[in-house]
Amino acid sequence: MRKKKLFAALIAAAAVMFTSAIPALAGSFSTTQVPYETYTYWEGVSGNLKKAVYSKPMYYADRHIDAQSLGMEKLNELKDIFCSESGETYILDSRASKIIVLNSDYSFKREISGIADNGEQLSFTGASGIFVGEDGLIYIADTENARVLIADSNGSLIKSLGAPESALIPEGFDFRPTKIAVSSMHDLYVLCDGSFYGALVFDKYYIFKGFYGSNTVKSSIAEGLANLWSQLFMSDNKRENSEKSLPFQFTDLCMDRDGFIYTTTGKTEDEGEVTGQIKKLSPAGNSILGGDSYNYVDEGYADVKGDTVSTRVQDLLAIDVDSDGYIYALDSTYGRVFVYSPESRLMTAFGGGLTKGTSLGTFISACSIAENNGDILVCDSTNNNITVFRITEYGESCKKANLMTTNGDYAAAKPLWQEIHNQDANNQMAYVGLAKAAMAEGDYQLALEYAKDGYDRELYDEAYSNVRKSFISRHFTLLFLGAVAIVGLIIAAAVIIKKKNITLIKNKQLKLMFSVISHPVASFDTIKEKKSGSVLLATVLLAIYYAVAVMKSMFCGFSFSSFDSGSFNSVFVLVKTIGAVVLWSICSWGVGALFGGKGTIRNIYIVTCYCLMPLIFSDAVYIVASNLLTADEGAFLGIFTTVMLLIAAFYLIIAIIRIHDYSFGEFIITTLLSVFGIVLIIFFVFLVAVLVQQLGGFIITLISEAVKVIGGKA
Amino acid sequence: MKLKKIIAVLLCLASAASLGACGKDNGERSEKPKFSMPEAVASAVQVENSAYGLSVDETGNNITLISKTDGTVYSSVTGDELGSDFENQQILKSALVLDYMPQLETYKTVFSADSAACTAVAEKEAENAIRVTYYFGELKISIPVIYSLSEQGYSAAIDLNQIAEGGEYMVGRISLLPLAARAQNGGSGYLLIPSGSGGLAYMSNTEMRAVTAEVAGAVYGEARNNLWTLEKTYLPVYGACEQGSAMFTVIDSGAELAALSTNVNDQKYGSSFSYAVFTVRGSAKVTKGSTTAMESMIYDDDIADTSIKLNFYPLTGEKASYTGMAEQYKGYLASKYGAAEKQAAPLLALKFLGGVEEKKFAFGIPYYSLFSLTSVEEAREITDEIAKETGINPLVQLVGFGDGGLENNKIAGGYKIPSKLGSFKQIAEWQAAAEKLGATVALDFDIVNFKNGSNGFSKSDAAKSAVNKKQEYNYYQVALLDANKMFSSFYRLSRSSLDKAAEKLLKLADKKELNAISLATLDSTAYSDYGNRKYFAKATMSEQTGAIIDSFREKDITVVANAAYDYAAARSDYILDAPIQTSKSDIIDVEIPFYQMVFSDRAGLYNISVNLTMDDNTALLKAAEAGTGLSYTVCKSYSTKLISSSQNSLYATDYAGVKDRIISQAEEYGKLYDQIKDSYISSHRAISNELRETVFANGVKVYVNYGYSELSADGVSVPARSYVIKGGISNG
Repeated sequence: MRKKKLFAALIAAAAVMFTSAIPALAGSFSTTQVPYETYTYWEGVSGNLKKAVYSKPMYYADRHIDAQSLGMEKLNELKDIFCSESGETYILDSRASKIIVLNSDYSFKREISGIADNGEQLSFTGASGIFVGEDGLIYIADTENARVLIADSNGSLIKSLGAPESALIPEGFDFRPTKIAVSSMHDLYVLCDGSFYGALVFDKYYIFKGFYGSNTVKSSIAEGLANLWSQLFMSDNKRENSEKSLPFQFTDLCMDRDGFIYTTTGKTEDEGEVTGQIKKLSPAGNSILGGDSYNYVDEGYADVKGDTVSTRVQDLLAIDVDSDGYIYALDSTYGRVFVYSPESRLMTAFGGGLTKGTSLGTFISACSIAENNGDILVCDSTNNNITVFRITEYGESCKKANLMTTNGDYAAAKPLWQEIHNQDANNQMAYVGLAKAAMAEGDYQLALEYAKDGYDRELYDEAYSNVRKSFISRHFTLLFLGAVAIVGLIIAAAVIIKKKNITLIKNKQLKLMFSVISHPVASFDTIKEKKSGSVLLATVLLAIYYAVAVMKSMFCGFSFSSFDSGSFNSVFVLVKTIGAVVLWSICSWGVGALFGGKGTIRNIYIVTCYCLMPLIFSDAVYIVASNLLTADEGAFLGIFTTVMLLIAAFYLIIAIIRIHDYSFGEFIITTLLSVFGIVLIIFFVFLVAVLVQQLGGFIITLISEAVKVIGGKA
Repeated sequence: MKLKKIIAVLLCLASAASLGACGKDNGERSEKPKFSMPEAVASAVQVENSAYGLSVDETGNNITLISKTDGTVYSSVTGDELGSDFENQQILKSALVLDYMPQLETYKTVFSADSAACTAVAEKEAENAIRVTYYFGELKISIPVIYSLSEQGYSAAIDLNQIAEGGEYMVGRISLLPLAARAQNGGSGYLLIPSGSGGLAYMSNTEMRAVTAEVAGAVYGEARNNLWTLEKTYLPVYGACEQGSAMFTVIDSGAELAALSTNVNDQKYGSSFSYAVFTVRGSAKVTKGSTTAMESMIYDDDIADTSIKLNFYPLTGEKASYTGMAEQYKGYLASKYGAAEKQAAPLLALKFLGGVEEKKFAFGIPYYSLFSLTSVEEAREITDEIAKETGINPLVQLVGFGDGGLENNKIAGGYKIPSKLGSFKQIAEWQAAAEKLGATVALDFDIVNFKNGSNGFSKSDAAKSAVNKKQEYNYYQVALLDANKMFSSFYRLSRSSLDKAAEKLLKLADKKELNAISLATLDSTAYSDYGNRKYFAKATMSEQTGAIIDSFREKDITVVANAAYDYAAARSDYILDAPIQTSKSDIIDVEIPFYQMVFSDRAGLYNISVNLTMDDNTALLKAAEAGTGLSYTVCKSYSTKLISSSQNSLYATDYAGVKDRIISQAEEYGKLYDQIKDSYISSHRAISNELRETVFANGVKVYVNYGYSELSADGVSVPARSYVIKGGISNG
């Protein structure tokens, strides 16, 4: 048996990666009452990254609507749901060619089996979408039969809409309707499977008007160049046969109270982050919600080895919007519901199952979502049920408070936000709401604190500006006198120094270092010829440069910083500062040695470090100024930093030219080669690190196996 | 020369390590039973006592219990004829189901009813016991099972050390009498599912559901996996009830190895049933390369060093209900852990959070510093304030007051309290003062999880996985359902070091004069340690934890438990974080407070903290239904800094936001609690999905309506989302 184990372990040692440890949570503070987590994202904590945090549930899974609850024998394949203004729910049982209508309390009301057409029953087996108009007309996207069926509320056919005949329809277009939305003007928007051109629009007379909205193709620079190549050099025949990038089709659409169309786009990448999955389209068909660069679902994804869902890329399949503009989107991969404010800010995410869910609130094939008087309904086509998520009191408060704040009614929203904050200190919107309320009340200090807690830098700036103004007006006399005194002292000191001819810096090496600022050429020549540069001073400068760089990350004003202790990595700063200088010195020296440069590594290192002085000064000024200025006022800091960077670069150019005795042309060539050398060294270091890691792992495994074998025999 | 030196050093190291391994008791068996096919001819055997007769038929599969009182027959297999799906239906006729495997492959299943694969030989073992040995000839595996009769029913037991494995196949999982607790599909019966607080799966809706699912999962299992959050299985019991007859099962031994499998209304069986599947051997999945297609399993050399035993209790008449099952279980616990002695439990319990580690930097060099959420002094001030406002001296639990706070840095928080949070002296003084008022202040210690070595424990003392590596655990990444690599992983203390950690704690408690402690993590964690065969597959966790808790109680130290498994709950004075829901599986029709029914007469009970639940109203209704006190988890200084820490689930614990709710809810709920605090649940009825009735031993009846419209029963109207009290002194 031991041999078997050894054999197995050796297989493991050869190229085995042990499955990761079971994720577990320390402590016993679970807040769930459901088989999934409720969370939201904080924004602004760590740059552009979103930070997932647990949050109090805004919704809870209340019940299932299934054949049992409806008193029916069975449901076959639920594909879509629609909730009317009156609260009725229409369920599309696609395989059974049936529509089940529920009362507002989700009890069974009636059933429509097939659409009656002059005594004949039209089957819509394989249909994917349903919509019910304000006038009671039922629209069915009869996918497999390539038509849209329009029937009255009793299920009698009014119109069967087939593929339109129009010059606008591309050749080979397959009319397979999947989703439908109808405007108050009776314009009909139809999504088709495989249509990359947006929704087909029909007017109230069912005349095809054209395509509306569509995703655009996102292409990389390489793809752009390839396209250009294809246009310029490929034959027509070759070009026709070449692979083309097409925009991704919409997976669902819905319409808000004001007639704006909202769309979702599903999985667009096999891996990596996707963006712009939710769109609110203007009448011209352009996205007006939040831009295409925003990721509406989770930050990253887990690729869990050994899991049947090996790649968990999310797939937004369905969308709905309520009368207040709150957006509800459904991810079928995780089985999650994402609720967004009208301003497209994530309020909560919940649900789960990862295509294996058999518990309340989890799903196998979540396929459709609908909002119904505060409830959220999610349809599962495999479990053949609908899960009703009911809004909690807390959730109602959140939505109400957000609307009040959006409408500028900060005072009315304040107690609600306070209560929300009491119940969920992780609610970022509550901090912002309270900050706005405090601003409206003129309590800028409190607004400042809330805005900082809520990571709202814009609001923080506004509050800070007022706090500073108030501070200055209260202490103007003192500040003015202080400033005058400081200026006076500086002038007096300067006069005394000049009159008495006092030498502030007596150390020659230190003096030489500072003389780089005013006389760079002479100073670098002195360093080269007299070897009077100091390695110690250079190293101190380098250390200061690193320290200031770290401080710049950590101690900048709130509006200028996105420091997050959780993700901050000082090693990265170390590499960027000290690592860069050391690498540069080595490569510049190496290349110099090959190209006749006269600089020694010592001198290169010294002059490079001396050239950091403008950068140190720039960072120091930045740290101080960022704590005094608002972001708008701080625009000049960017200019200042750039100027300082250019000065440092100018010093470095002079330094390298003088130290190596290069011409400018030689300088350019050797600098490029030095940079190339740096890249090579980094690559080499990585390579060695990986090899050492693997060798280490191999040795450890070897020892442990040897121990086992010897131990076993003993 | 250098190479020679290196080889020499490596060999020395290897030898030293192997010598160390030789000296260490890793619980390996010196001799394993040999497999040999039986010579005896199979025959039926029976035994009897004053209450029952027990017989085993000649196939060894039908274990029949006959009541001498009323003649009721309880058969372990169904009388149904097997249909065309014979292969899958053999479970209906089997006493034992064996999952076996060759190394590096996954399980295969064989049934004892498969006469081509299995031969059973029965013989009388003792006056009231029958030994049946199941021989799986081709696999060269034999498993002896002892069926014993008692005055209350019968039991089935396997000493795992007696299992013989004579070939290349290994025993992986064993199920015993899977059909013993069953109910007819479509009938009026139900199954008791022990998930969380407990649930019922009704048989009456056969047509609508055909689900086969493991709804309760592993007994004493983890709360999460890579897919979703689970409600744990705290009680090793299951049962079925129909038509005035019920079979209640308690896993008396080896519960740690068990997972409960439940089949509800699966049409191919005709019956619905629950049974325990015992995993008797550790395994680990390994992946070669990066593709899932190259996965294989590695199994441990040996079977767990323990025994498994199931007690079957037939119940009839009025006892044939989940209330009867709870009564039976209470009796079982009383016989195992001693008679119930309930402590007076105040209405309120406050759980204070001590500190949390915060990442800081000194010139870019990261270090961790403790962020104080609540100091001992602040906790005492809050407690005094609540006592003043409500007139109640709450039960207090202090969690995360050791080194590293809630971050389980060191075993038992390094057995010290950081000065930022307070001192043992302060706590001892507080405990003494509280004792005079009849209150309890318990200090929590985590002696299971740790990141760094201290106090004689090092990382080498971590529990091992089945591939003999330190088993690492990670914090959880909520959105991605995966390990959160932003925070360093932690370990669990090897099972063989657990007693030492507890001993040290006992000495500390004695030295610091602590009169109440809690072991929240130990109470709710059962884990394997493949460094020693005694602890394979979580084996003997209940005995080990039980002995630790007993050692404190023997010193008159009050023990407060959290979300405790049965073996810890039954030994504790107070239980906090009692579960209030099930796993919400589709096949569970009704959630019942079975956990509370079992323990309400043994310990002061508090459900999961009100402020951590989805909404306060539901939490209050759950408390009213089960007659528990109200608990709250609070901290004095909440900070948004915590969202960047590993503890970003503490969003609802800011005392400033909770205080008013504690006071108002104590006042509202106190009217009910005053009438039932000294009583316990005598019966419970799920009148409908939304309406429940709980009867307390002192005659008080509580009707709870979870629905959104008024409901009535027994002439009592219960407003929506509310409860009504009947009976008792002042309620008519």
